[in-house]
Amino acid sequence: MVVLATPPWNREDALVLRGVSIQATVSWVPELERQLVERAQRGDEEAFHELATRVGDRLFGLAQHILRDPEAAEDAAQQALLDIWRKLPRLNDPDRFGAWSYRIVVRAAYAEASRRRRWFVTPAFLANPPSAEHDHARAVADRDQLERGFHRLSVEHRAVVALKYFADRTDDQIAEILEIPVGTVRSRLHHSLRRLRAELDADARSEPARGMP
Amino acid sequence: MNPEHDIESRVERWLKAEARPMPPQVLTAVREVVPRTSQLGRPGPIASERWSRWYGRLGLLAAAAVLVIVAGPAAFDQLRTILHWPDGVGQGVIAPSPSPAASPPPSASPSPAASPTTSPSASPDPFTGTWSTIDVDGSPMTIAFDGNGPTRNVVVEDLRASTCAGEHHVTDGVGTIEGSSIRVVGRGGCAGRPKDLALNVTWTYDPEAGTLRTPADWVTGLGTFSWTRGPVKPDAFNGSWIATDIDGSSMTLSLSGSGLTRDVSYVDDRALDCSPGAAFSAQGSGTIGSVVGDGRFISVSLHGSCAGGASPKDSVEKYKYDYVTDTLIGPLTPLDIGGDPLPQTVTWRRG
Repeated sequence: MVVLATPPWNREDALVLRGVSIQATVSWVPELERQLVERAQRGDEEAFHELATRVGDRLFGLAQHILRDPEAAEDAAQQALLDIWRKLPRLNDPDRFGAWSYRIVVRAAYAEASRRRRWFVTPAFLANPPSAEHDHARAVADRDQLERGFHRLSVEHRAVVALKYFADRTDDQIAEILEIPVGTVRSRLHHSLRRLRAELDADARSEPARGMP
Repeated sequence: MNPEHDIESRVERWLKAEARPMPPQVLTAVREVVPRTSQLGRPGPIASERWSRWYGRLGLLAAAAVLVIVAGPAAFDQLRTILHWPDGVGQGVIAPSPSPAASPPPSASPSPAASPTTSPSASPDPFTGTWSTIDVDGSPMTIAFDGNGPTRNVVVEDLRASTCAGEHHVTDGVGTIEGSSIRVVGRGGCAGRPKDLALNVTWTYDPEAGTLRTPADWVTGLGTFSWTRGPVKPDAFNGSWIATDIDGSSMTLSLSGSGLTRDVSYVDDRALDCSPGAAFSAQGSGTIGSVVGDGRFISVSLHGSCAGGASPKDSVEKYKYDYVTDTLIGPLTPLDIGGDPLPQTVTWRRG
């Protein structure tokens, strides 16, 4: 029996390698990643490319959820990977690579949002979805409501939600990654969930009226 | 089901289902750029190449120097013979005494830039003169030190004091020099009225920045103030600020008003989101916020549209006014606010 002595975020590595024994995955993947980090710290480009391939999806996913714009997420992920390469020699503890890389991708996403200017469409326009959506199945409607609610959150609120529910970070880890107090993490989560729930509830209330003239 | 848990599980399912794998072109681009990107604290390929080129050049220079010292006189003699130069021509090149051109003319005086009196760090008294900063409402404040010996006559002025309903506030006092600090004790009041406000504050000289600093509790809880030499700025925020957008177009941010709020207008002369060549303009207001480090924040809410009212949009942004550089930096990201702005952050200069 292998004991999960490694930080919780290594669970994601286990998910990457579907079909491989979970026990084996948990035991050797973190060590492999650690070795890749150490080799990349010494300037080994091939090791870095292997590392980037392994962590790329989760970094891109985080950027995608924060920015809600695939093109911006690509730019942010690319910038984050280059920043990781540049700054790796300054990472004192390779075991902290996970939280450290998340911090870099969040910074890159914030910078990308800033570079593209923060103009957003007036909420009044978003509040009137196309009528075609009314015919979608419940699951699709659910997704659309979440999408719209998520769009209305600020990038910093989205970052907290994405770190919590996409990257499976704890509140303490999110606080460390974002360099904000744990209380702020919790209040942002609370606010975000309340907004998302309100979006879903509003949709549910309007459901009986659907299809009426 | 607990509604709290329900929304959490729905959000989690949605986020994980919506996540897409990283497009391969991102990794391809990274693979292309990494070999040309040096790591911090390590000489990268470019740096190594550059250093090796420099070492090569230094080697050549050293060899040339040795050649000139060892073989120079003989070589010049031979060259003079070949070119039929008269005696003396070319000898000054390697003459052991300095050439007339190399020695300073007797009438030359030190340039003002090199004068110790204009360099605060070289001066025994870095305080004497006039310094200015920006008050909590964006208006200017000045402090002037004058005199000799261990004390200075001091005049502190708030050119638009809130306690004087926007009028002038003046404090007269005496400053006692204590190392790199000067403690100022005095009394102040609104112009033309009794001086009924006591002042007991220490200004500290920062030799690295060349600025004076006042403590965080000078104006309760508002952070330190940096005081700089030079012309007094009429207002931290008011005026036109110009920056270049990422697409090369020109952006103008105009602020006016007084107190803690400002009227704000914004124009991008060629906005990406508008029809080709069309401008985007917006209007709104700003609220001046806290003091952090060398600056002060202003939060701006704008509503705007492309020319003709197309594509209406809103924004809520935060900018930082920097005392020392007299620039506006932003819009800032949340992480900028806690630390140094990111390199990509736009810097606005007075127009």
